[in-house]
Formats: sequence, C-alpha cells, structure tokens
Amino acid sequence: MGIFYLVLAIIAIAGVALLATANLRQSAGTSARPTITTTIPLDTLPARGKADAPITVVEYADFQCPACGVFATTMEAGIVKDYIDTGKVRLVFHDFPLPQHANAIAAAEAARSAADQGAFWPYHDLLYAKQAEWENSAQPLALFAAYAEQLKLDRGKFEAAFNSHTHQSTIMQLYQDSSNGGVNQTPTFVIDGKAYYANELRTAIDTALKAKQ
Amino acid sequence: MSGCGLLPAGRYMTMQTQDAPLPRMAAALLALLGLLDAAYLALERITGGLIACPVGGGCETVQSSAYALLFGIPVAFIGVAGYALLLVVAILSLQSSNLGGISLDALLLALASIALLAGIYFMYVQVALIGAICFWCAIAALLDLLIWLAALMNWRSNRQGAMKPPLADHM
Repeated sequence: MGIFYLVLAIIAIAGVALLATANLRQSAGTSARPTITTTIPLDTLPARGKADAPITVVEYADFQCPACGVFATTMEAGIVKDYIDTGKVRLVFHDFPLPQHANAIAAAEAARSAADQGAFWPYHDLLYAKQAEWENSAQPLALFAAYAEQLKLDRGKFEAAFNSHTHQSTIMQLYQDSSNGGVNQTPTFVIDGKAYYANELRTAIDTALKAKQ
Repeated sequence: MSGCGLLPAGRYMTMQTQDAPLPRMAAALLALLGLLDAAYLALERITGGLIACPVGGGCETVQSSAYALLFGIPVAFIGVAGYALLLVVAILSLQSSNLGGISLDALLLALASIALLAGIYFMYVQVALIGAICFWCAIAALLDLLIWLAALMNWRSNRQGAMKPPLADHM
C-alpha cells in the first residue's frame, strides 16, 4: 500500500509541475496569443457603437455557429450595455461563415439584405435567437424572409437582394480574409490585432481601456 | 509482555476488513487524473489563457460557451471540487470501511454515480447543443465512467463479502 501512495504522490507532484509549467509558458509569452490581420477596411463592415470609441472590437462570427449563438444570446447584451452604449467600444461584425455550416453563407446574405434596409443588428439578433429554427432547413429563404417581415422590413426588397446574391461576393471575400488573416474559429474577438475568445472579452476590453487612459 | 487486548469497539468497526483494494486504488488514481484535468481547465479559466486542444479544436468553443457555467460557477471549478472529494473518499476507503457510520464503499459509488451523470450530461451538451467537443471534457467523462466502474466493482465485491455467513470460512 505504501508503494501505491508513493505512486499517487509522484503523479500529483508531476501533474502540478506540468500545470505550473504550462501556465508560466503562457504568461511569459504574450506572443503565444494569435495575431490576426485583415485587409478589409473596417468602416465597410456592420458596426455598433460610437465611431470614435477608444476601443474597436472586431468579431469574427458565423451565424450558424452554436458558440456564436450562445455569445449573441447570453453575453452580447451585457457587452452592449456596459461598453458600447457607454461609448467605450465599437463592435464591428466580420463575417466568417465556416464551410461545415450549410446555411451560414445564406444567413450572412440574409443579414446583409436586412442591412440594406438599415436593420443589420436587429436581424443579427433575430438570426441568432432563431438559430435552431433555420440551421438545418433545406429552404431557409422562407424563414429568413419571415424574419424580415417580423422586423417590418420590405419583404420584396429583401427577397430581391437575397435571391440575386448581391452580397455573396463580399461575404466570400470576408471568409477569405478571415482565413488568410489567421482566424481559425468562431467567435473570435480581435482587439488591436490580438485574438480573444468570448470568455476573455471583458478582461481584454478592460485591459485595453486601461492602456489607453 | 502484554496480552491481546480487545480493540475498542469504535476502532474495530472502522478496521479495514476488505481484502480487494484494487478497485479503490484504481478509483483514487483515476480521481487524481480527473483532478489534474479539471485543475488545468480551472487554471486557464482564472488566467484567461488559451487552452491547448490536442484533438478536435473545440476546447475554446466549449469553454467560452454559456454552458461552461453552472449556477454562475465555472464547471471547471465544480470539477476540481468533485474530483478532490472523490479522491479523498477513495483514499479514506483504503484505510477504513466506514466513516461516522457511513459506508465509504456506498459513498464512493454514490459520488461516482453523480460524476458519471454529470459527465454524460456535459457530453450531451457538447455534442447536441454546442456542436463542438472539448478534448479535456471528453477525457473527464471517460474518467467518470472508469471511476464509476471501479466504485461499482468495489461495492459489489464488498457487499458479497459482507453477505457471507460469519463461519463460512471454517466450514
């Protein structure tokens, strides 16, 4: 039995040492944080918040990604209230429709079609809220058009923009830009070229705000 | 030289009479591995670091999802507490068969069952609700299953031992 306790103690010590090493390595190298680049002018993308806000957060997201949906439906309202409505942050939405999500491009096109009528953010919020309804639909247009109607948009104009794929090339360009720029998952939040994940966003914004003071 | 004194009743009751410690040793070892796994996720949660994801790449997606919190507490923290408790109970069960009148074998099995149910629930959440699998959470779920099997084997073998007639060995 003594040998067993010795083995247990050795594993515990080795485990703690590994954890400490992994943590030290990470805190020592902030360069370990992915750097994201973009060639797309940010003022061409949908954004919310004051244009001269001290911090710009670029969100790389996919409308069909469940994690993006969780962020949009559970965390985003808090970020909007605490940072965007108070003028501290401008949030820019950068499409990154992932290839494994069959309706992601169509949803991005729908959001852009709503943006033509000045309703990108309400439509963005509705798409995420109803994600389970349309994500596996073989014909999502009927649902997308119904959401446009729900927001009192002109259904005819919405369908015309959607059906003519007015925004598809822009969305594909954004996909390529995300991929080339080093983004490998959604949602990814970029502040001053550094990538953060949803659970790190508040801390990252607070740190960036302190640095700008 | 003193004679063979009768052991105090309390001490006699807590003496280890079981002779198959392997499942409890396995449970202790697996609980320690689970503790290290959960501690890694908890540490990254505290420091806001990026989680190394050897397989799948879904670790950050899962850990940054709303499901990574249970009643406002990070699931990784609950995991650390749960595995620490399992480890303590498994080690205690190697020393004694009961504690304060509670059978440690039954307690170990009860805790392992709760851990297994939690493991199954979180695998369901990852696959069905988040659409991404966190490698470290999958490892934890596998450990939960193995701990439960060890606790079940231990409970069954000791229960069978306890049900033997007192003089069976002399017949």
